[in-house]
Amino acid sequence: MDVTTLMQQLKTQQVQPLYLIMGTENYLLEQVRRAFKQVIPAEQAAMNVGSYDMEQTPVAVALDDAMSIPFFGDHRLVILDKPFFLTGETNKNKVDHDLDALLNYVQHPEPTTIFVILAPYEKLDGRKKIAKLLKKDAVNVSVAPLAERDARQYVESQAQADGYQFAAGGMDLLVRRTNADLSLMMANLGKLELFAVADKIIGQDAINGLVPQSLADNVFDLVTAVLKRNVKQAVTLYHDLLVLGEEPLRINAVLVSQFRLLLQVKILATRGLSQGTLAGQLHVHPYRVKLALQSVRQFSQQDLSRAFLGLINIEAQLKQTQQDPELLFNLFMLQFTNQAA
Amino acid sequence: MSYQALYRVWRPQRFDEIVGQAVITQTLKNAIITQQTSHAYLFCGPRGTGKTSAAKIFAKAINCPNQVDGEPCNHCEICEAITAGQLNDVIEIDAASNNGVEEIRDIRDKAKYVPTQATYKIYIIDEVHMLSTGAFNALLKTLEEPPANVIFILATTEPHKIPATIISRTQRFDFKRINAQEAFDRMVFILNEKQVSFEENALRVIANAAEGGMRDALSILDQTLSFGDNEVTLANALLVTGSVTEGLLADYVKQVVDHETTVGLAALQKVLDDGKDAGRFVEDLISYVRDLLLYQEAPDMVTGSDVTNDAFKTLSQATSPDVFYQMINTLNEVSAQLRFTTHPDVYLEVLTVKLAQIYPSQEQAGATTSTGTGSADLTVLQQQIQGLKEQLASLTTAAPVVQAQPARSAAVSVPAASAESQAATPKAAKAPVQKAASHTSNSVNLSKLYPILRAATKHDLDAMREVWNDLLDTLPITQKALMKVAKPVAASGAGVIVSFSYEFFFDKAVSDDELRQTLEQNLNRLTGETPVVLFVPEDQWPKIRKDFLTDHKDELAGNADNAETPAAVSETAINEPDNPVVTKAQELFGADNITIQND
Repeated sequence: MDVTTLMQQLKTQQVQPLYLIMGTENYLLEQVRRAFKQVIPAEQAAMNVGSYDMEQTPVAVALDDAMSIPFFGDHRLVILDKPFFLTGETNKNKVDHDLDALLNYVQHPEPTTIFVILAPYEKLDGRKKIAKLLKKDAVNVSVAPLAERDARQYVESQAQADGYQFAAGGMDLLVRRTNADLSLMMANLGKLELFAVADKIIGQDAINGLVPQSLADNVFDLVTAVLKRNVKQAVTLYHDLLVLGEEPLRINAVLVSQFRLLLQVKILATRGLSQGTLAGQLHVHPYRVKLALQSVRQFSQQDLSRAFLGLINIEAQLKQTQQDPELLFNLFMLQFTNQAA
Repeated sequence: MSYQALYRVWRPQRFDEIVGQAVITQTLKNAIITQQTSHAYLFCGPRGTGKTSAAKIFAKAINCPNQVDGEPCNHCEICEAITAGQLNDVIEIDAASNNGVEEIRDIRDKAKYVPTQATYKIYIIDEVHMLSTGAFNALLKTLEEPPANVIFILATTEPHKIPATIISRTQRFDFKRINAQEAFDRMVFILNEKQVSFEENALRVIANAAEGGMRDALSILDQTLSFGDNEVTLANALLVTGSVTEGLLADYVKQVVDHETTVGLAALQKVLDDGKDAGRFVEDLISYVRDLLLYQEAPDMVTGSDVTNDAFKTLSQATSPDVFYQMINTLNEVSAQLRFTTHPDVYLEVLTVKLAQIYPSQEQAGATTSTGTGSADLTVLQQQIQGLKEQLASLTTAAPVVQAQPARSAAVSVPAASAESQAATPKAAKAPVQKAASHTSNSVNLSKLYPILRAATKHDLDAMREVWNDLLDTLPITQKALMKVAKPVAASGAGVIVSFSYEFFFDKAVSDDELRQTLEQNLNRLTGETPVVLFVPEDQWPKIRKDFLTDHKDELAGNADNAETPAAVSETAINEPDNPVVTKAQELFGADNITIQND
């Protein structure tokens, strides 16, 4: 079942005794949590809603709660958070979970209790009996990260529902700045709407001013500047990053890894690998590969490898000598631009 | 009243007084107007960009009973109490000194009580990145679901030190560095209010030195004011920002670059006499030389007073970058050595001598040193032009011989096609046929064709024919349709020659760059090689092939190992009616009765 269907069912109070919500998209997970909480009338919330963090509390406590009858209401809501025992992970906190009891409960759930398991994981350990059983018996809802297109659509429709519109190019900019991460986009949408409260149109200026750029994005700009041999922009960006308190080694490491990806993509793309295969082989996010494929087209392999080696050289210098990182970067930029010219 | 620093007197008290953050302040104002405030804010950005000011103004605006358009009135009791830091409901905490779990627990417990005077209780936690991990965790829960009418404003210069769990629970605003122009305007405004005279250039120097922090700008301005008895002059500004020695630096570098060791040593002595630290001097030198280098590549990158300096410009342009690179290397070595010596003067003197002996590497050396200004580049350019001229001359003498031959042989062998074949060669300009126009634009490029023909093998051609259909399948419909009338006629490892049955399609294909690229890319995908795709019209192909064979007869014959090559080329020709074998066969059996087959 997908999230929208679930929301609709919850709104009309059609509930099942057992739910497994799984996926890493935080925003959707929180939406689902809120929707569940709204099933229980507000005046009963104190008595009939229980939320248990499995990294802190033993499952037995939650089961005790689940097995009791609701107070003055139709349903009791029990939420299990972060059930790490369903995955292959081991937890350091050593909470003693009685999994047999949980198994037992899943086989015979209380009809008056809504038992919701919120698993913020990519997948469960399918060999475990409890995981198998849950997949079979519980209502499975996926909150996996949305693809770029779906995320766009989601944000767009949310904005429209609030009565706002994106100016031309605005959506693209937002997607780029947030790496198409739904949680980030939704968090920023609120601010953007506030700014555009007067004319209801979300423009690029607003996005530039309000949506923070993560280091990775800044570095992304830096990479583009380096590749375009735009000395001015590259040097300014580098300086800004240092002013923000970034470690030179860290910036350099991100640069190196980005160039490494570009090189890999460049080489592998000429061997005819598609975007999906590339992402799989390199173990990176498909969106990154997509962007890399776009930018790689403009550059020769020689340029890329030269830049890569130059950056490696900076790293060696940073570790071996006392030279000012900014100076090193400036020199690298100048030499790189000169060689190519 | 005692003197208060400028940045305290002129701390912004309204949103529209905050410089350079229009988008952020507008959003905050809108939030107050529409009463859609978040329960937690995170303000981050470099120092002196207005984070704390914005937080305080926000506290006032949201609590002020007379607020207009999201701005506080600054006159009511509450506003004044907040400005003075006396209102109990606005609590400003410096997380740098209250970073423990205990302090945060205290906040958490007190946050439960409703505000006493104001409508909202506001916690401003400055330098929030200094909190310990435990303290952050203690704050998390409160931040997620704070009691009604409580707002947290967290301010920090280092957002990356804040846990993601905190960030995701706040509305985050990134304050930007204030650009020099905005800082400049603000200073002009303040000085006009104070009725102090100033030199514009002085303010520019200050604005640049402040590096995007308004507070830094005002501090420097303050110093300059006290220096110059309520007057802002360029000289004083330079003095305060420490740029005064730059003149000396410039002289020194100039002398060193000009190899005037004696004068350089004297200049060095002067710098040291001024009480400059040796290490500091070397660092300044490095950054000065770096500026010189940068100026060559990106002139608008270099800020500060240098730019206005003509000596700086000429020096930067006159010297080859190579010299600067070498200088920086030498300077770096010395700056490392300086750490371990008790006699820095000696090292600096040696350094001066070393620097004075740096010459640009390679052949540019003579030019740069002897003629100075700008001539290095010029000489190189002149040399290049000379080289190109010579090449051109040798080409023009050689070319007619090469071109004449194919044209003549064509005229003899295939008279019918001669017009068109002439069009194919560079001599086409005088081709009489009306088609000529289209041909000249899309003529066959023999210089590209021949290398491929030379290396062409039967094997490659077969391989190409094998993948040809697959290749067509990879094309979009329109391109596929176009390529249907084409077939590969010769191939080598480096390229494939494709012939078109109709002129029209040939013209179309040649002018379609995208098509060629797609073909090459897809071929690469299918075969793993990167062949070049070249087009020829079918009616010209036999002639081109024949010309090639006659032109390269000796070469081909002499190359016994490569016996396959001519064979491959003539193989491809079997289809053509003017092949002697085929012609004979046609004579014997009649044209309709024979099927020509390649095997």
